[in-house]
Amino acid sequence: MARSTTKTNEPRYDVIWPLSRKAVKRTAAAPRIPDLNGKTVCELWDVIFRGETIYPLVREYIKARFPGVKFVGYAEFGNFHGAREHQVTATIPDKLRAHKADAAIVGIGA
Amino acid sequence: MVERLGIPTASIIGSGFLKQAEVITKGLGVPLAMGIYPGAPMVDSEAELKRKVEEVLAPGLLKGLTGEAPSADETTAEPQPGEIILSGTFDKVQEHFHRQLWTDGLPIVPPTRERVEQWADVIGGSFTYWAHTGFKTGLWSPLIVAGPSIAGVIAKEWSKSSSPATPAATSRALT
Repeated sequence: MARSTTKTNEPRYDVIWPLSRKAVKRTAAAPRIPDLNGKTVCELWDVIFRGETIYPLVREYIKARFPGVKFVGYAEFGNFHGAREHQVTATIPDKLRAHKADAAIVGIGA
Repeated sequence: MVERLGIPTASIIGSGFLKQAEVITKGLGVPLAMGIYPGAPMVDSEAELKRKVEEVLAPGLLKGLTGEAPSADETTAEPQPGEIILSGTFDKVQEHFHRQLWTDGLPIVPPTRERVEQWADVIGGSFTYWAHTGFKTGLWSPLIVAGPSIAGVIAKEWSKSSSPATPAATSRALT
């Protein structure tokens, strides 16, 4: 029965699952890289929220711990946000391959 | 996208956007490693921004690239369409839906089997169809999650469309 009552006569509801089945195919995260020395980290930036200040600080922080890490700056990839979003985004996979990216930092969602 | 290329990725996210990031992560089906910026970078001084990056954001990003791979926070199997997931009072149902982010805070009509069947009678389709489609997706979602108090308003708006359902019938199904 979908609706019954409690001792206080308050109705109780048997509620069914309200969502559809997930249509998205899950993808596992890529394996992480414990040692970034000798690796290439690419930066992707949507040119907002002070990334011009944040990215250099992040770079400095990581380089202090992995001196052998190489960064490819966000300017190499263009602004993937805004009117040219789709065109720029379409070029990113090839650019990442061209730079032999081992890891990436993407931002900024704030 | 980058993670799908097999490249470990860490994203810079402002703390105010974590819920949005969580939703996007679910939508993309890819776990997301994040470095969190506490607050909003646009309003912080240079010194405060530097401190937050060095103490919180950068360590988070580094961990996202070098630590354990993020995993989807969904370890339990999803219920089957039409399966009863909760039995409780009106208030308990409201609270559960609210906590699951299945409402935007408005009261909802508890979707019991009989309510959904009534719904299907008015809208068309069948219980099975709606159970598989879900009540939070598609054109009719505002109605099934809308409380009785606003059902009439929605029905009035609806009457301007070419929908075969009448406002009165819609209100009857919901109230």
